[in-house]
Amino acid sequence: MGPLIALLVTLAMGAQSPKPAPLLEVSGAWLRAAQPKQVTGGYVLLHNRDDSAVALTAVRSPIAKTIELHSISERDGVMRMVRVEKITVPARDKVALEPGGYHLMLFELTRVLAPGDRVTLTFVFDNGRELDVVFDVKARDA
Amino acid sequence: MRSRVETAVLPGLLLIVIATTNACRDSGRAATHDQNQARRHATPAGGGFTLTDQNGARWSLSNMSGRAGLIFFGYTMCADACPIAMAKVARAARALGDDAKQLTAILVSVDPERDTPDVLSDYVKGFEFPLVALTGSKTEIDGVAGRFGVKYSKEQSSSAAGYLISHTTTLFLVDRTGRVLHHYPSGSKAEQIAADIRHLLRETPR
Repeated sequence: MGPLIALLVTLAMGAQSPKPAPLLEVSGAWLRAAQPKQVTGGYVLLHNRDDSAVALTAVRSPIAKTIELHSISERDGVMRMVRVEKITVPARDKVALEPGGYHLMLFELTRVLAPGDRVTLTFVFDNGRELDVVFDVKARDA
Repeated sequence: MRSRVETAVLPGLLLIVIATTNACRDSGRAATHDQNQARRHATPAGGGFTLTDQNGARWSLSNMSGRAGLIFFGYTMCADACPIAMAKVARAARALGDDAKQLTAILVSVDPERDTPDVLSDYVKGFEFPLVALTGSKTEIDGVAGRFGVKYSKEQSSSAAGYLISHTTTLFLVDRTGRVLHHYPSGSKAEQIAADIRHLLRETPR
């Protein structure tokens, strides 16, 4: 089993804030291995420990020209994938980006993603905060 | 709001549900949710077909090196559902051990517009099992999809992909004639697929 990536990240409201810093926990981040001409998917668990909702609105990284947020749903055996503008994590709740559900879709990779690689993607939230998340690369048929 | 695809598919599925009760051939197994789901869909007839493979050559099921084929209808610009299916095929192949030599995994592209043989040639690399990737004219793909009861629909999207394709995610276990022996909706387990392939190998002459 690959190492579990667990980052406890403080989304501080500002150095002047007297309140305890709210937390967003990000864990289990992984990408499926791919060649530069291929698209691939990324997955992560977002755990919002704050008292207010937060939404992931964008993801960027030097490893891909474009990274989009997608969701997938199945009805009567037909799978439908759609692009979404944001993924909201309610207060004190978790949202999983996982196979068969929400996921990141990466286009036009700038490098090979091989199993065992670790790459960094930057998450952008609706409160303006940004967070670097390290993803493990797993085999294409993982 | 219901999508155009879903709306288009529903009437057909109502007919399938009415027609199905004894269609699946795994009635002796434990009645799990997934198997119940499978039973709601009649086993399609399937049948032989000829399409163009990732090398640009015409390819038929008679080209299979083994006695079992697992067919999936997907496309290369699919970042989730299709890799999930390929991962399931990989787990089934691992569970088969040496018997995996008798299995040919087959991807039929439902995006023939983008999935040229060159694109498919890149796609098949990197899997731990042999994968034949097939494309053809839309008419050819429509014909094969129809015989396997597969629905697919091109949908415009704000995605950088330009368009995305909604499609059936069922895996089909076939013999060399293309006869569908079992079919597996997305929630099915790789272990069950491997067990059915072993059964097929026992029942089929070399």
